[in-house]
Amino acid sequence: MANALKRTNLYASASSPVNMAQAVFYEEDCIVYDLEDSVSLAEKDAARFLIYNTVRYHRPRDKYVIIRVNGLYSEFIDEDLQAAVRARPDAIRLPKVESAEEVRRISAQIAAIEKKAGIPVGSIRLWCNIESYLGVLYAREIAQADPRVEAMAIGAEDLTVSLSASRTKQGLEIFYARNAVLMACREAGIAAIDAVFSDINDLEGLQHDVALAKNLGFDGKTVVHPRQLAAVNAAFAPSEKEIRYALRVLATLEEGRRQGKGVITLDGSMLDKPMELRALNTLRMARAAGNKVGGEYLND
Amino acid sequence: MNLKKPAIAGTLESSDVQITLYPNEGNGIEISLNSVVKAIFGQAILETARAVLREFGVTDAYVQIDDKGALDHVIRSRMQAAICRSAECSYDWARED
Amino acid sequence: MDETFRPHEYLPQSFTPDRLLLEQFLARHGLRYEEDIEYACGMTDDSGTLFACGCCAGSILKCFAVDPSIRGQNLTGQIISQLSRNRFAKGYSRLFLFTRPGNAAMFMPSGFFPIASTDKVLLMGNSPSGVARYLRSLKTGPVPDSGAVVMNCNPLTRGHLALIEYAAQRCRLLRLFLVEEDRSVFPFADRLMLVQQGVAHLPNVRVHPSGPYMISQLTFPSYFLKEGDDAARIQAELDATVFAEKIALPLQITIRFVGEEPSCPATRQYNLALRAILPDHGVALEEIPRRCADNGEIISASRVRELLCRRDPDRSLLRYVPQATLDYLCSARARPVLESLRRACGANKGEAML
Repeated sequence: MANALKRTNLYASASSPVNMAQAVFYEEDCIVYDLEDSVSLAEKDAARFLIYNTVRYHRPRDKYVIIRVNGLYSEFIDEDLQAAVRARPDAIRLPKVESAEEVRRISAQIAAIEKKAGIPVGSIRLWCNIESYLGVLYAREIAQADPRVEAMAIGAEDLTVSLSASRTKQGLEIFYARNAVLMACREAGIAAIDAVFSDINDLEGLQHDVALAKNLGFDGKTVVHPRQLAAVNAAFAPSEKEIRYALRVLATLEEGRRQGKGVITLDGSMLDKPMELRALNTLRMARAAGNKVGGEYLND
Repeated sequence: MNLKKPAIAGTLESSDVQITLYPNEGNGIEISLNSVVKAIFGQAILETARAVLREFGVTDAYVQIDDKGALDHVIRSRMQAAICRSAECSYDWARED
Repeated sequence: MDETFRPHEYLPQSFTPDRLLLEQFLARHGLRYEEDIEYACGMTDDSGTLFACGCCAGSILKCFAVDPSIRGQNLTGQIISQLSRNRFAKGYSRLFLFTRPGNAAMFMPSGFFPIASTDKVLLMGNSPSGVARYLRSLKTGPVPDSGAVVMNCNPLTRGHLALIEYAAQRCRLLRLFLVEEDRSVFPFADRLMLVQQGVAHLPNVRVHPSGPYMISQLTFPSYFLKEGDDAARIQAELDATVFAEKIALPLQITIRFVGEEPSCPATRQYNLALRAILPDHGVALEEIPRRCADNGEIISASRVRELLCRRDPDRSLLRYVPQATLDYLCSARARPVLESLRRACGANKGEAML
């Protein structure tokens, strides 16, 4: 599911089977089974078994499956990787990445386990959480550190602590970090995932926050509560105007190709490959978001 | 594998199961099951518990299962965690290859 | 995911605000806080307000309270599993709770099973077969018309020995249940060694660890009792009931021996409870007069400990203890025990011989 939508990433704690089971029935695009913050130190062993058996033998359909492991310097990381890789998720999410070297080290570790377990080497992708000023400063190197890296996600709570900043709902304190991470993602051609909006009872605040993230260019957002899913999914879904424009782009391209035109224009502008991809992506997102879009342009 | 000390894993939350494991030297496998779905799934739960004990080569154990409607993979996970805790060993994940 | 309540851990011994919070919450639900609580688990809402709690000390879970507004959400189960995990991590695996007799249904879905009950209190344990496994661990199966004595032997005195020798003559097999709980001055392993040496000449005596089923006054919680209830009496009645139903009946014990208690009111009351309850279950009770030393003084373990507080052990102790006990008291092994005894001097005054 490498091209799948990544509008919403919902955490499900691996200390609670009921949370894990329920999370499957919500509308998130990506489900993140968590071994880190939501699991107490004494329960890491049990959580590993639960994640392994869930993802390996009871994998949710139609979800992009991610496992968040413990910190790269924690005593848990080696065994976390042993279990997480063998569970065969779509991706492994690494907390607090601060250098390209860290990414390459983990990637090599994953490759060794993939090889041993008979999993195609390189098939499991990496998501890097950027949640410290070092992570932001080295975002470009991290994004391009390894072919496994598929997305970077901002963790605003830890980031603001590392900055000695105060976390606010307006988010000015992470404005630079958002832009820096986003540009690094665009440069590397990977997905950019925005930070959590922590007040699960403030839906209006969430709507402002997610509108900002979308306008900045983010592909999705991490959410901590299913209550937030609808608003975030809707915000990242294309508007009617965007859908209509995408359909026009694709129709014009098709018409031009049928006529054997070398250069195809719409409203006086040339239609190039990136515009075609963007239009396809818009429709894909629209369809996933539940809009009725003709299926003729989407054969994936 | 020998169990060294009593151990517990899982919770009494709905959809979970709490496994309590005691060494039972010389007395084989004894299982006591307490489940909200005992009538329908009791046999399946016992089979899963026995299967995991077999996989670990545990031949003597007293197992108490307090089930709150856990799915099979949850029961398996809790059994595995309880056995590793009781035997004071970490799991060799390469066994899954 | 949609759950409003989250588990929260409390450490009242090391963090006073936790303690105050628990104390106030229990008081609001008409329950008393108990000083020995080591760990507690609560359920709080998003704002951190406490709605339910359970506590524990040693192998006992206690002080449960659930706000009436949120009953029926299985919060008790979540609290109990959190407490159980904490207790297992601390090395306690046989867990118990005491509650009012009507409350069995509240704890049974959480993996606790009734063991015995009086009209005032119900004892529950975390295993449905705990008693059976304890009895099996004794190796010696049921013997008709056998006798029993429950002792602390802290440490073994000539008084204990006289009682054991007398009782051993009165039955085919005498089971000596040695209180296992290590709240005594002398560690269980040391007390066991002395008793085993002391009874080696008596072929029909079996020494058993008491297991968790001889309830100690020290651990008996009273938080759930009503104003005016006599905690010591209720505890003694429960202990007598557990012994009669769960130990004596399956092992075919028909007589229990206790030392006569002239001085300690708690032990006297305990013996009264035994006398009231055991005969109804087909178990006779025989009170044996205390043995006196050659100076006319009644021999008791507390007298021995008192002397040890004041001076190093010497031959004059032989008036109270057998040679093996004296040898032990003079050995290097006993040195740390004597040191801690002296440190705690005076604190254990009320402790009886049992």
